[in-house]
Amino acid sequence: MLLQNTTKLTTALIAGVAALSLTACKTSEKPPLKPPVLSYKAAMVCTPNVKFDNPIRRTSEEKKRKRELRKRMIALEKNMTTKGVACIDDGSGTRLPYAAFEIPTGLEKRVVNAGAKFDSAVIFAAKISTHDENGTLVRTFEEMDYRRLGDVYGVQFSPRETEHFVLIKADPSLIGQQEGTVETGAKAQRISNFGVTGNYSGGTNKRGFQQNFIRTYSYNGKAVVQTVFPKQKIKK
Amino acid sequence: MKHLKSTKLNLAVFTAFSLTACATPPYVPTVYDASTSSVKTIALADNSLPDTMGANELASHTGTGQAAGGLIGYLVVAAIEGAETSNRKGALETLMAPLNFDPEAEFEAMLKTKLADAGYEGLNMVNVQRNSKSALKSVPETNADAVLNVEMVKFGLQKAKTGAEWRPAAGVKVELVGTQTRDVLMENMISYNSGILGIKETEGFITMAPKLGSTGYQKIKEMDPVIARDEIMVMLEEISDMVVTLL
Repeated sequence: MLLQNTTKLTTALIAGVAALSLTACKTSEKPPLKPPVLSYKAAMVCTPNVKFDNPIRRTSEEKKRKRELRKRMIALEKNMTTKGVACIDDGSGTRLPYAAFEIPTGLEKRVVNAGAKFDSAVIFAAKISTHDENGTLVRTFEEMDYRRLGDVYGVQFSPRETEHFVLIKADPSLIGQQEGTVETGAKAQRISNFGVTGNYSGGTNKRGFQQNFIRTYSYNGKAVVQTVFPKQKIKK
Repeated sequence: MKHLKSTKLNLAVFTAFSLTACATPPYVPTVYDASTSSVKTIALADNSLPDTMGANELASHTGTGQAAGGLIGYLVVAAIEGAETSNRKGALETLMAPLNFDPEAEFEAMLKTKLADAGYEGLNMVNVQRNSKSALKSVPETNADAVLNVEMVKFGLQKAKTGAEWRPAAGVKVELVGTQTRDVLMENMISYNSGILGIKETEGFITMAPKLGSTGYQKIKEMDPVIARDEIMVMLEEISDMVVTLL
């Protein structure tokens, strides 16, 4: 009897752990819908040129770097709505917010997905270019190079040796344009049931969904640079 | 005591398993850099589409598994869904038959036109053998600089659940292989209308969705075959456009 109880407990524990770790994968609750911001009011003094001296870069924390290597992705983000976002003023009166990112180095076969994070209603209107270590322009991308890459809208490239920085700047010509899509997907949901006898049954319930989206290119949203890479060889 | 030990072991194994299950590594494509490549002539790999169109429902209205029913409940649901799938497949073939619609020929013609517009030459079809991951088993004989191998691993219609609408969907694998070097110059994946059809959606691969205003049908038997074909043509146009932008 004792053994039986232990077995039940074991089962419940295992199931509990499984449920816990599965729910841990899920993203937290959806943030409320953000309305698009169609005009830009600079919150700080804009400079005439882009500054690359303080880019958003990979963490220096050893633990986090190890986790990035395990996940094979380094994700750098900048919320373009916050007050601390840098801006340029080219002299003609047009002020544009921007974010400069440093491309992580020392990774073989790295590929960069750079652009704006997909939100339910808003996409930061991103114009992307790459620059060398002195901030000199290396390449720009054509309109056809911009595409949706999972949850990023932007460009995908293998960094050339000279490319050190990714510059993501607001593109006023995109602001206010909309994209409408019908999206189909399935979400897995962990469900569980404890019976009267103390038995536990659980499973994954897959539910389908179809949703219409209208996303507006705007000044708010997140700029993102994801560097993905295959499993790295250990250097001796 | 011994039992407790095995419990600990079980827990450890389970935790490890469920943790690794979360960390699906992102997809790492091979991105083509036209500035460092000299590909001017391209041969196109034949057989880019499956022979039959699929009709896939992602999940039933209530979901696929039921906790209360446990494993047996899940199996029952799965069996019902399986039966519906085979019925649907036949229905779709019957519906489209009078149109003599050849999506593969249409798709290959689109690719040829768009590659020619982009300045590529050659553009002959070549027979190829693909492995289970859609990659070329060997480089076929051709005078072209590279072979463009596009394979739709899944192709057809998809809907989310009962009550949702059928719309075109495809899972596409694309690669460009140099004929001299045999190097893979470009490799990518396109998921049209959800990543679930054929290839699992992870970070980083190209995701496309039908436009708002595209026509969907709740039931296959209610479909106007001409409109259904036109919607599939829209998808093929968008996918072929995307393939050409990868070069």
